[in-house]
Order: sequence, then structure tokens, then C-alpha cells
Amino acid sequence: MKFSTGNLKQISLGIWLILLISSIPLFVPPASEPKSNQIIRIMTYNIHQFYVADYVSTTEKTGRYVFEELLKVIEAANPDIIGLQENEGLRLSSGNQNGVLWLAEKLGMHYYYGPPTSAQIYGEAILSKWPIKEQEWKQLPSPEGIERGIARVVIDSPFGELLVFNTHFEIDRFKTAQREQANFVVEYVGGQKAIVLGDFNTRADQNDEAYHILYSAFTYGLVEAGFHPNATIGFSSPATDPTHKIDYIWLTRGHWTAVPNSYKTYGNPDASDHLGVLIELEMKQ
Amino acid sequence: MSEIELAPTFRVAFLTLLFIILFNRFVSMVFVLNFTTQGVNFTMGFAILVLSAISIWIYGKCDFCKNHFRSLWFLTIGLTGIASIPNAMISALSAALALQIVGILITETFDIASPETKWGLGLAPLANYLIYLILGQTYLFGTIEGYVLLFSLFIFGLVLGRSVERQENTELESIIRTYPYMTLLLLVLGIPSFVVTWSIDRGIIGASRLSLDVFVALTTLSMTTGILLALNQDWNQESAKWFLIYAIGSLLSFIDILFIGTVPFLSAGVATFSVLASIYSAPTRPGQGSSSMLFAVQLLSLLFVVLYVVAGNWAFVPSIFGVMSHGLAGVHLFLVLMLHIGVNGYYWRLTS
Repeated sequence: MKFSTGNLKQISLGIWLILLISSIPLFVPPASEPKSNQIIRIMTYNIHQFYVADYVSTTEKTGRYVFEELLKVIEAANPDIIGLQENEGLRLSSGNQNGVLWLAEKLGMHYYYGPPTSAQIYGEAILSKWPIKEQEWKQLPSPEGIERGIARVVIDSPFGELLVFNTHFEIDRFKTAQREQANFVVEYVGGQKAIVLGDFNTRADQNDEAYHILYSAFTYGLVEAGFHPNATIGFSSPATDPTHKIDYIWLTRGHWTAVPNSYKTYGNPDASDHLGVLIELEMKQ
Repeated sequence: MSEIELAPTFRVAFLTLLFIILFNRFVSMVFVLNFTTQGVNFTMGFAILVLSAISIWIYGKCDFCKNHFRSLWFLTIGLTGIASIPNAMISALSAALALQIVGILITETFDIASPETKWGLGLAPLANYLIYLILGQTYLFGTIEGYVLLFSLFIFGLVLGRSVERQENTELESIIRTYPYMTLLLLVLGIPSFVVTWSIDRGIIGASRLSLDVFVALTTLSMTTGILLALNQDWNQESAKWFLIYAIGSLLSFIDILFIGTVPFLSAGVATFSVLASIYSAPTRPGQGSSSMLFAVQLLSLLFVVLYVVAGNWAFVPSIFGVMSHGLAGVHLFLVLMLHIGVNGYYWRLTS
């Protein structure tokens, strides 16, 4: 079949128009959900670069993407604010996919992407049901291991401005980096009223110095919700058989009241190698 | 107004798209096979399986293969289907094998001198943007909708394959000159969201206030405009001056996208136009492409891709790769552009 270049120009123009029309829904901001109660739900979740966490032999790895599974977990938890870690999908190794945008659109939430892809950090995004007024990220000190970051947002909620941080510390074997990163976070948050979310890769049962730095500076959400810090509640890793806590919600001291027994985990191994951790906080309008 | 054949145009677009899809799948599955903080394993070696220069050379000597050219087209679609199954090892190997055959198909289908190839090369990224927009910036293997779209592409590919025929005068020049371009589509220019997330928070005016999806939309439209501008030119400018202009345009726009971030969504459009224009406007030099040259271009492209991927995980790979890649992801992307300019500049030099 022969076409004139004019026909192909029309086809190209057609594709362009489709692209333009397809872009329009993106401009529609998600609606802010009016709160009918005085409780907000805060969650932290390491989403393992959108891959299912199949820790099996090389021949059995599936490499299956888990966008739908993650969406189900988050929908079930129904957080008002969620901090994601390992959300950097715009890498060729992750299939060049903007999962943060996809999740935010599906959940009807505002979002801050966190460190840019060029920073080559695994990602710390923050999603919120309410508009994000301010946003920034900083690189954490990384004397060993890879680059790590922390995202900071100010959220315009019906209860006033909420300051939220989200971070992802260095892995277990780099203790020096963890310690410096914990000190940095404590200093960065300062005396402000804030919520600090993240995968801190640091454990109380190993007597990690970074854990003690954080525990000394902030109130552990688990404790604020009425549990003993060593309670088995809040085990988030590995998702197949959660035996330890590395994902935490920290609250600045004296600023927050948690709903009793509201510290919970959500998720399953089909969604991530971590479970998400959630807390409910009582708010005054 | 010149006339062009629709089917060959779509075949070029389809093969370019297939290259992007398969390479994307291959790299992500090899990454999954090595996705651990304990270091890499033997599957990293699979990387060399995507170099199709040797297969193309063998194909050139194989009359039986040439007589079954159409079968290779359908085999590629079948292998792409296998590459979509949830088993990283099988998926990676199938994608690599399919990429080998895609290389052969490109050699037998692309004719850089023809308007069909030029239009096909321009339509492919448009189709890729469309995929991203339909899937909400995820890709074909990410969601159920993605698999439905992939299946639709297979149907389209099967229809196109029914009338596929070998070219009478096969030249390696076409694949040599377009390989870096396809790699740029795979890494940067085929993904509107990439340009945005790479550059956001790097100082652009208003970036902290505008929503990410506004930037994605702007970038998509800018890139599409760049492609349409390139497609609408009358390319008979056999002058080195124009090549230099396009080379400088692509270099400056990539510098902005990768290292500065002043107006990345506009630079993406300029980059897409300039990169395509440098292919479209260059004269052809039949007989000036060799298997060894193709191998060198593919090897360099692969090296930059590997180093770019490793840059994000440098602490968990052997130290030599870590040192070569740490903090240099943008540089490796830039080197692919340099390769593109170098390869097409080589053909300009032959003319002048």
C-alpha cells in the first residue's frame, strides 16, 4: 500500500493528538479527601524496586513486577501519607517505569518523587492525600556503601501543616555509614514537629548504634501506640517470615498522640520483601 | 508530494520498537538474576548475547537462513512472547536470542536512504510514548494492561510479517548508523518520564512547584514536536555544515538534560530532533559498512549500557566496574550520544 508523505504526516499528527489527549487527565489534581474523623494514617513501605522478592535459586527467579500487588496492599492499609523506599523505577534495570506516578494516579494522591533519577539513589518518595506545599531532598553522608538520601515535605492537611521525612539507610554491614546517617537525620529534623519514616536497616536486637541514636532522639511509633519496644508487633522483614524490625515510624518527642494499638504491618511476600508499617495518629482540627 | 510504502515504514517502526522492548526486558531480567547485595553472578556474562554482529555475519553466509527470512520474523515474535513469561532466566535468554534475530531483520529491512526507514525511525518513539501514556508511565511487562498491549503488538507484528521481504541490496550501513540512535531511545529519548525524573530538583525554575505529571506531559509533547519537525523537513542538505549544527544541537540539549537541568523538557525536544536529523540528512555511502565496524559499534553501545546500569549499584559489583561507573551514569549516557555523532560523522567525512 502506498501513502503520500502527507498521509504519514496525518498519522503522526494523529498520534500526537492522542498523546496530547492522553496527557490531559494527568493535569487533573487528585481531590483532597475531607476528613470525617480526627485520625490520620501514616505508613512506610519499602517496595523493592517494583519486583517481587523471590529469594530463590537463579533458575527460579521470576522477576515479576508487582504494581498491582503493591496497589492492593496500600489500598488495604488506606494511608493518608505514605513514605516509599526503593521506588526508583526509571532505571533500565527496573524496566524504565515510573511506578511512583502510577501509584499516585491510582491512589488519587499527591506525591513527591524524592531524589532525582540522576542521583542514582534507590528512591525515597512521599505520597499524600493532601497537597504538598514544600519538598526537598538531601543526600545522606555515605562514607561506605552507596549513595543514600532523605526526602522532606510539608503537607497542607486539614489539621495544619505536617512535616514528614522519608529515608533509606545503608545496609546492615555498613555500620559506620548507618551511624553517620542517623546523626544526620536527627540534626536535619532538629526540634521541629515531624514524622520520620523509613527503612533504616538498623536493629535493636543487634544493638545497632544507629538504632540507639534514633531511639534517643525520637519517640518510637510502636511505643507511642502502647507496645513495648521489643514487642513482636512491627516485624517487617523479611516479608516471607518477618523476624525483625528495620522499617520504622519515628515521631518527634511530645508532639504526637498515637491511637492505642494502632501500630500494624500490611503486605505479603507477593508485593515486596518488606511489610509496610502503619500507625494512626490522633489529630486536632 | 512523494509517495512511500506504508508496510515497510511500519516494519521499520515495529523493529525499532521491538529492539527497545527486548533490550529493556533483557537488562531488567539480568538485573533480577543479580539483584542481591552479595554481588553479581555468572549471568552478568549474558550481556554479550545481545551483540548481533556475529549472527548477522553468519546469516550473510547462510543461504538457507536467507530463504527462511520470513520465518525469522515470526520466530522473533514468538521469542518475545517467551521473554514475557515470569521466569527471569528463560526471559533473559529468550530476549537475547530475539535481539540476535532482530539485528538480522533490521539489516534486511532498514534502508537508511529510503523515506520509509526515516519515517519508521521517527514513528517508533512516538509509539513508545503512546505505550507509556496508555500504561500510566509503566511499561509492557508491568501490569495486566501492559500484557494486553504487548499481545496487541504481537498481532500487529504478525500482520506486518505476512508480506515481509528481504531487500535486494543489503547494506550494513543502515544498522550501523541507527544502532546508537535505538540505544538512545532505549536509555533516554524513548522515555518521557525518564527525562523528567532525571532532571527534576536540579534547579529548574518552578520544578519544585509543578507536578511531575505536568513535566511528563510537557516532555512528551516537546519530544513529539521534535520528531514531527524532523519528519517534516525536506532532507537534501548534503553539507557538513548541517551535520555540525545537528551535532552541536544534540550535544547542548543532552548536556542540559543530563548535567544541568535548566529546561529539560524543551531540551528533550531539541535532542530528539537533532539526533533524528543527523541520521536523516546524512548522505549514504553504500559498501562502507563492515561486520567489524558493526561489532565495534554494538560493543561500545553495550559497554556504555552496562556501565550506566552498574552506576546505580556500583558497590555490589566487582571493583573495576564500580570504579568505572560510580557517579558517572550521566557520562555513560552522554557517551552513547557521542557514539551516535561519531558514527554518523564518519559517514559525513566519507562524503566530504
